[in-house]
Amino acid sequence: MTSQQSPEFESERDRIINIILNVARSIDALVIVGNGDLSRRIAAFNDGVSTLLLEGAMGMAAAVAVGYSRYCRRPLIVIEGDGNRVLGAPSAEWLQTQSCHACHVVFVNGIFASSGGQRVPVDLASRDAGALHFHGSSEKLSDAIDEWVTQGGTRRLLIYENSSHLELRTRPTGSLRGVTARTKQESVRWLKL
Amino acid sequence: MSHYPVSELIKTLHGVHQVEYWVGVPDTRLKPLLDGISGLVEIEYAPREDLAVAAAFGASLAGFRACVFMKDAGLGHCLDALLTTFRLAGLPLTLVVSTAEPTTKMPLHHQTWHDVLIKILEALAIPARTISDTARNDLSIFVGRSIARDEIHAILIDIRLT
Repeated sequence: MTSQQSPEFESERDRIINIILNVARSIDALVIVGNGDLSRRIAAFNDGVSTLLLEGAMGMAAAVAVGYSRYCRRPLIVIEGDGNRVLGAPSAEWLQTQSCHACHVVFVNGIFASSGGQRVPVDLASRDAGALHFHGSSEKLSDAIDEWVTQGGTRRLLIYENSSHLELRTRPTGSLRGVTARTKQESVRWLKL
Repeated sequence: MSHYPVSELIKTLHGVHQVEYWVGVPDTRLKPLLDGISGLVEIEYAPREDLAVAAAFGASLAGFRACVFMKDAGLGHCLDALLTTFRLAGLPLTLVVSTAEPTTKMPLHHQTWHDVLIKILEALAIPARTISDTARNDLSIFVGRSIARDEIHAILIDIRLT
């Protein structure tokens, strides 16, 4: 994986995001991102990848994927932090029940990073039995994503991070309105294929 | 008016205005509507009202017109979802919200929501029509105008659907 050799990534989070977005680009997936640092960070990566970066709507990224997948067979990658995952708890299970090609990636650091590092009240490590868990091995993560691409269906991946190593990003310029307009255009194009 | 023909409501929303994606949380008062719609499209039942709004947003991004149904208490669950998806993106959404008939026998929890429902919708600048006092043609015009304006709009089911 080229991302492992790239010195330009400032953090492990950036390196993992790069892996995921490379896959998204290669299969023309729509990437739906929960609010907070991940959304801001991915805005900086947004190069040739269709993204829907939620502003607000905390915990709802997976639910957006549920509705989108009903009408569009395009692969979906949902990315959110564990704070979002806990807040929108039923949406992850809801997405898993859909007949679609969706990978739900949850970054787990145990804190609400964007709001100052408060503790996430639920420990996903012991509760999310339906997910695949990754502790610091991006090679195994790449394999899991590649397997999802090949096999299809829904998959949930939990990626554990060290919260003390996370430097938060500032809010990107641009807004949901702009991203939505582009995503909507792409969706219409897709539906016409 | 003491009841409203459910076939007219279905004709207005599904037939005339092509609302295709129906998602929400069921309620007794909505059962005739959901039974009727389920013969036309597959209804999606959501685990919570805010997630129903989010799913409707996803369907809208895929190019399909959506309706979210719920009882009045559900509105309290989905205010943020309404504002940070459809309102922020400038996309239309039809809400079908059931509420109790104003009677002296109304249970307290129904009374509580009945009293504030209109005020909450007004505070959110969500135009609404109650089916008890809206002519059928006017309801269709209301929905069509709201869709044309990319507005979230609400139809309040305050009488029995038959």
